[in-house]
Amino acid sequence: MIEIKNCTKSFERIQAVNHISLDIGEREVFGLIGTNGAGKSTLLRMIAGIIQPDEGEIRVESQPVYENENVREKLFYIPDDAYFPANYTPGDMAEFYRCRYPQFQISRYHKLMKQFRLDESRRIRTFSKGMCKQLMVLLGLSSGTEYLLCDETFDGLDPVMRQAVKSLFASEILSRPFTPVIASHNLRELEDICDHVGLLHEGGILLSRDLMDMKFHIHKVQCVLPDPEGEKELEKELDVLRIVRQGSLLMLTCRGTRVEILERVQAKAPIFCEVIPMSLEEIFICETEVAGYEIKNLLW
Amino acid sequence: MRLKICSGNYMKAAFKEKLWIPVFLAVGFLMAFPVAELIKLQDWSLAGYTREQIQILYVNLWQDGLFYTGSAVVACAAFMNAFSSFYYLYSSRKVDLYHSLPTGRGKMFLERVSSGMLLYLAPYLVMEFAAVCMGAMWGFFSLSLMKAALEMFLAHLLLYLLWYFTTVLAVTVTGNLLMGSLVFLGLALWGPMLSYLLTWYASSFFETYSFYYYNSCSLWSFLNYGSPMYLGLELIELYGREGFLPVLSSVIVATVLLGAASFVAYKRRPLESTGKALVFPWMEIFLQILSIPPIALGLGLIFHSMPVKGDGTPWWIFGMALGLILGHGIWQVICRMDFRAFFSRRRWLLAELLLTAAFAAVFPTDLFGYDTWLPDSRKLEKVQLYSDAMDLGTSNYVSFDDHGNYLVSTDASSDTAGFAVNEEIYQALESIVENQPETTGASDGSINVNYRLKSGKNVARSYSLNAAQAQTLYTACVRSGDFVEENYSFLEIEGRYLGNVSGIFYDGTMHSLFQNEAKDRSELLQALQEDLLEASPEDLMQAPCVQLNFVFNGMPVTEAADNMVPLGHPTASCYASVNVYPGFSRTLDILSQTGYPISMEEVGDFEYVTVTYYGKTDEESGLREMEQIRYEDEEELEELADCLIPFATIWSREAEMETSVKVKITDVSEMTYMWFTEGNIPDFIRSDGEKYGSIKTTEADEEELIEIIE
Repeated sequence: MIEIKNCTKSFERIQAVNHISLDIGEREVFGLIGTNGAGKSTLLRMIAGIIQPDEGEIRVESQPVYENENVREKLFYIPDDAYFPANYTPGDMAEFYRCRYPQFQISRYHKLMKQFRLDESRRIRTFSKGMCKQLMVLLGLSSGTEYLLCDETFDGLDPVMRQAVKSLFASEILSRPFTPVIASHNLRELEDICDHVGLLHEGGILLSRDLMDMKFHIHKVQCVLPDPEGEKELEKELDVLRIVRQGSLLMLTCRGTRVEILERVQAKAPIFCEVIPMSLEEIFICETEVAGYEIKNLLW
Repeated sequence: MRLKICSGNYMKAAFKEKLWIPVFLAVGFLMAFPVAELIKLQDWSLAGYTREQIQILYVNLWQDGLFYTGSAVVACAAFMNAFSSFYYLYSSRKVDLYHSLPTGRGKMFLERVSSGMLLYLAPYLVMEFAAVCMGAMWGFFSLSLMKAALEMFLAHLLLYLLWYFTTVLAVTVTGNLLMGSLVFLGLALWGPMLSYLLTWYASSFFETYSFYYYNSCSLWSFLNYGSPMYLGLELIELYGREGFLPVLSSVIVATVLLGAASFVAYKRRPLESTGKALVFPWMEIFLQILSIPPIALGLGLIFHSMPVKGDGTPWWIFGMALGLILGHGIWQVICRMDFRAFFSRRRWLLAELLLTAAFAAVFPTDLFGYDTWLPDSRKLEKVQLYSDAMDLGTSNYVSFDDHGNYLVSTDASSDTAGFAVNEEIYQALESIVENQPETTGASDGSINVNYRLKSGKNVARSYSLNAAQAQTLYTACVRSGDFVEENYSFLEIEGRYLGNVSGIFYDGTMHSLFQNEAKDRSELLQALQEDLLEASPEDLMQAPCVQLNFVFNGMPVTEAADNMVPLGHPTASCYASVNVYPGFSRTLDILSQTGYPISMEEVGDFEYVTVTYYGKTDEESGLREMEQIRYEDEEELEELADCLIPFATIWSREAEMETSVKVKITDVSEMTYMWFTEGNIPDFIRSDGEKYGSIKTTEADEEELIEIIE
């Protein structure tokens, strides 16, 4: 588990990370969502042990990360714009990481490279941006580390590759202790892969929730009730986050399980009633509106 | 702690991007060792030297020549390795790659230093081995040679580490290439530049700064040792010579300190500062204080020296102010990478101003008593004197080394010349120091003094002095007992080395003497020696009548260790110049046989005399008033002939008038410069002197004059 306790990091007058406390559990895909400048990269670099927090601490398996070789053998960091030494080939990079990570699986690496059709002997400087990102992901998976920190890694991948990587992550989690932490500003991209999501905004954490938990306990209901009195009673009985009326059609976003919500609605003998699935983005917007943030203006 | 460098795979991967370094160094060391050696061996062989001579030269080559050539490549190796290993710190992308790895910073530092060392050692050892093998092929191989090769390897390794850690320190404390370059240059040059600046200030502001001796400002020459580059160059220069061990110790200490500092800087470096000018904020003010005041002082001095006429002080102040503002502003722009930051941190500018003013105030006020300094007599061992107005120190200094060979040097560069200090000499010097004629306005000449202290230190000064002070000092030197030995050390040279002898005679003409008669030349030298040994102070105080110049050739000297010219029988030459006084009867007897004039009676008739009278300096133009008068009247010429002398020491010539005299003598093609003898000026000359303002007045005279007027 990665424990982040009250971490703060400033760069001169800019507070990049502001008293963040967060726990990242094991064997789950953690999504770190936030706009540009939210503090995602800074937080990931602190977790990776590259920079030291000004305040607070970061621990992995109850041990501090910074300047701790044993702990950092469990972490693999993929930056947004990765650097490769001049004239290196993927094979050279594999050797480079193999010398550093004792668990590096060279055979697995070769297999993945074939699978993704990347030429091991070709110079990396001739790769496209997407190919470089693919390569870093494959190296990260082959390193055998328990935690894979990905900074906007998926942004450069095509949809097919994205799916392939997601599948790989899923199979890794199933086969061994593996926890990818994926930072992105694209909520839709992470929706079908993340188990847990944290929302960063201006250096602070607004929200950190299990995705299934969120989806399970918030629903949108479309219904048409015969009388206005029933509507008012329903609004009182349910934990309503948002109400939208379009003529006689009533759209309620409310907390609760699907069964509970339907029971209450059915009790009012609705003319029409339907539970509509909510996207992660809609859930986020509702949740953060409650917190007083106009997050819809920030996400797309 | 096992370093990754022990892993072959790691080395292969890590060196892949740095293959060019060992290739480049291999070529460099190839040129520096085997190729240089081959060239010299061939040269010596073709020059026809014997095997024994080439053996000696070859061993010397390992102790000397190859060390120089190798040091140049070592410097390149240190810089290249350090920069290529740590340059990644200037890039966020590279920092993310290397510092996300599961390796602590301390270990990473050691790995990089070790890998750099391997890249240096591999080509070095291969090429040194090749050079040894080449020598063996020529038949030169011995244990002493191996020892020399090992010593050279160790010394080069030390130099490599010294310059390597200097570069690493510059990179680890900075965040971009521009500031890294500036800090590197600062580390390399700050000490020597500051030493040079302070020396320049001393020469500009201190009246007693001596340009003759090399150690007028030994006080701050220690600043040079603050530069790793200077230390390294000193090591190279003194390698295998006297004074090597202290420098070696200094280099070892400096290397350890630089290594420790760069290690700590690397470990503590906040990586988020990549891209900024300085990674440690506290360094900004520290470096600013070290660099801006010297820049201001330097620019001030440049402006101070620009005006040809008038006082340079206003320009000095202007230059310092300009240097402060520009230096501070440019520094802020570089630190912040923003031109708008030029006028930021104004409080620091104030601190720099105060510091600059404090430094600057030391010189015009002579705050620490540079001009009035005189060492305690108990600390003084010898004193070296040079004044051509008193015939002191004007000849080469001759001594002998342990092998009995000659050591010839100029007076300024000699390590052993000087009079043993007794009470009389010390009191004479004390009087000169305490009564500098600038304060009284009565300067007749100058003398350069090099104080040789018992601690081994040398401190030089230049003093103005009047005729009385000069006489007192000269008399003290003559009475010291080693006057002839010190001032005329060339007399120790065996007569068989005497070459050319020439003389400047009373009419100002110069003639070679006894060109084909070596015996006569030897007799002249012998006579001069006897006259000098018997001369009293009074004899030496008279106005000279002839000036003799001696040239000695072919004196055997010991081969210098750093001399790569072929062996043989190295020789030296010595040049000596001696005044002959009227009391030197033996010498004058021989000179009279030449037929050249040795007194005014023997000089031809004066055709005319031109006297230039120097008046006062015009304050506006800065030009001195001059009037040139030509005297052709026979009576006047007769009077002039009675009071002019061709050679003048400071006490024998008239000091009251500021004139320049040229005489046209019959049968002499060039005009002859002459001086009025002391207290012997014809009335018509005096009245012309008064008319054109050439009579010198002292402050005392001026006060007396003011009193009279009042």
